[in-house]
Amino acid sequence: MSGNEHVLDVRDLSVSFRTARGKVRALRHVDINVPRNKIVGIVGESGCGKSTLINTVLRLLAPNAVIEDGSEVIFQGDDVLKMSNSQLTDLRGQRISMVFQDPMTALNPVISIGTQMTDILYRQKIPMAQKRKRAADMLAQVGIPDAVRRLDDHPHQFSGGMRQRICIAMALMMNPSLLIADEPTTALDVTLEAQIIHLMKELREEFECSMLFVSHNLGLIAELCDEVIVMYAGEVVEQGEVHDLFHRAQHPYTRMLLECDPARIEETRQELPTISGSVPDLIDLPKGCIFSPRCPHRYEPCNESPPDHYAVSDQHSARCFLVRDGR
Amino acid sequence: MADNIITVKDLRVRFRTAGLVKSLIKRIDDPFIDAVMKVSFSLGRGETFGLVGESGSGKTTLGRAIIGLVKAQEGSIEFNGKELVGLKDGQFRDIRRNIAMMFQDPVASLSPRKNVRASITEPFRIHNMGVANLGEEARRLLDLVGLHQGFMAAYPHQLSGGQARRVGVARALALEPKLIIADEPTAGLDVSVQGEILNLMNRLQRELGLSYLIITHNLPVVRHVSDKLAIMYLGRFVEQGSTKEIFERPAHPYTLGLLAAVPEPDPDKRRDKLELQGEIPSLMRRPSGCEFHTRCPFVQKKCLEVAPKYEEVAPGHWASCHFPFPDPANAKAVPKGAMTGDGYIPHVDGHTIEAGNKRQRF
Repeated sequence: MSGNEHVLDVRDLSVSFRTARGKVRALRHVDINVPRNKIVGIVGESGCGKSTLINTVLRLLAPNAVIEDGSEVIFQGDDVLKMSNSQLTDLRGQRISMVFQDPMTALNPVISIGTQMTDILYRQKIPMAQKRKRAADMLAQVGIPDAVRRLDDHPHQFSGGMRQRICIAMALMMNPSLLIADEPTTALDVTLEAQIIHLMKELREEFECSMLFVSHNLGLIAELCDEVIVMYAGEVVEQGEVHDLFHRAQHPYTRMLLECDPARIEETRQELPTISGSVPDLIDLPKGCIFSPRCPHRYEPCNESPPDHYAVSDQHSARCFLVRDGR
Repeated sequence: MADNIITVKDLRVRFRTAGLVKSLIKRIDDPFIDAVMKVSFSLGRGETFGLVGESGSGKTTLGRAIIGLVKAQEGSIEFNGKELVGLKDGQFRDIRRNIAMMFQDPVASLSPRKNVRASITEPFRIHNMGVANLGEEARRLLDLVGLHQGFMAAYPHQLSGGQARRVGVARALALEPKLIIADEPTAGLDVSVQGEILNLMNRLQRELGLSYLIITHNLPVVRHVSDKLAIMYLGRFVEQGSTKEIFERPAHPYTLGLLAAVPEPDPDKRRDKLELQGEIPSLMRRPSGCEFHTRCPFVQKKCLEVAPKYEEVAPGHWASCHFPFPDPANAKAVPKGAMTGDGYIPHVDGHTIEAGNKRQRF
């Protein structure tokens, strides 16, 4: 069992969607892992496959999705892809839980949050009063003042930041081994975003749970994560320890992404850097490197075959011929 | 002033709350909330003004008041030499030829049942402009915003966020307005696309001589596009000045907090710096004294009692704070406990003040 080091091991995962136009190859040969008690950040732009990846881990894919042969998603020693429906019910919300993007749509507007929180504990045969106490404790822990009284309030009575705190509390109710956070702060103001990130850092110490943090905000990833995975058009293009990745980025895509971030550009300028071109069509893939059509450093091998993952250091690899050839 | 496209003076927008929350009215004599409180600014031709604040600070309401989507009760808005406050709905129609608005969500602000061509030529129909060749106009507009002609027949659900945003820009440009109010033009877009949209807006400004009012909570974005900046809190400007000046020498603790809240894409710069605690208070219960005192890490006794004046701290740089920072070095000199602040209780002259994290219910 590999469960001692890695909570989650995704091996050679390929996912496609059947469409009228043909097969959309949304994920191709993705290898990632989440070590115990670490926060792994996935960064990438819209359409890079972030959501498909986490939906595969929770087996929440649309019916037209095809998981290609040879794919494995090992969670604590069990292959999620081979689980039966009842095993999946056991997995979701209990062993893996999730915090979604928009806290308003994630909560049921007509049920009090106390009921929504105690409902999660349906598997446990303990008295309601005790469940409510658990819920109130949990709310207090995520920084909701006067938690006992607020259990009977409905989602609309809370502000946006408070709602996201509630979602985090709900996700942690069952003490999961893995928490997946899918852009948990995009719906919030910067000040609340900072507070939520601060909260997640605190909770991580307390609950000892591993986290998969998905975001397109590089600042947040740098702030929170231990390891970073950069995805582009359905592939992992670079992965590594957070300092390595931000200070010694190797893949041209990662470098350009870092350059683009308005938060990184200190001086006022009229023309901001961009990545020219657009994301390739995932039905008809280019023969060589997936990023080559937009890459300023493209040279001969890039057009011929897709690059492998080449190690930059022990904990850092990039899928780029520049690394292999030391250019 | 003749060279200003728009001059706003002491503008006040109030919303009636009666009938909405009955129980609250029983306790409040005045069934109004002030969404925008006595705000003044001016914007020169070809300039960009950034309006920054958290949700609930009144920045969108101010933008909507200028284009007449909500009625301003007091003060004046002078646009191109014409007074807008007090105009009837019908009279606003002509004004809206010259002021265009780009709404917040790029995809949701387009009608899902209209294709791109219909969406961007709709302004001509609304304003009864007898355009001989609508197709020609649509092609011109798409060209202007750098979209391929093939998008003409596409529907909003077929567009990416950045493409939908470009369509929004094309639609705003249709009637050749002089002023564009852009509400969160980059929210929800990927970083590389954000740059593209801002570059596009900058280029159009140079080519067409547009003026922009940009409403956002994203400080790094306004830094690159706006000449002047105002920070709003609870409907008031708490700081105003040139963008450069505000970024280099923020005077108000709220501005400092907003700047510190932007995470830097560098793992070595993880923060233990100032973090604004709590959330924006309800407009129905404005705090006494300085309205920011409930969240201010530098709160003093005076702040609870006396509202600070909105004063010039440097030429052209205004702020309302009893203890403005003349330079950033001052902010760094503040004790560390005040910066991290969880449950931090400042002691001032033997009084205990409960700061931040107070329960807020709306």
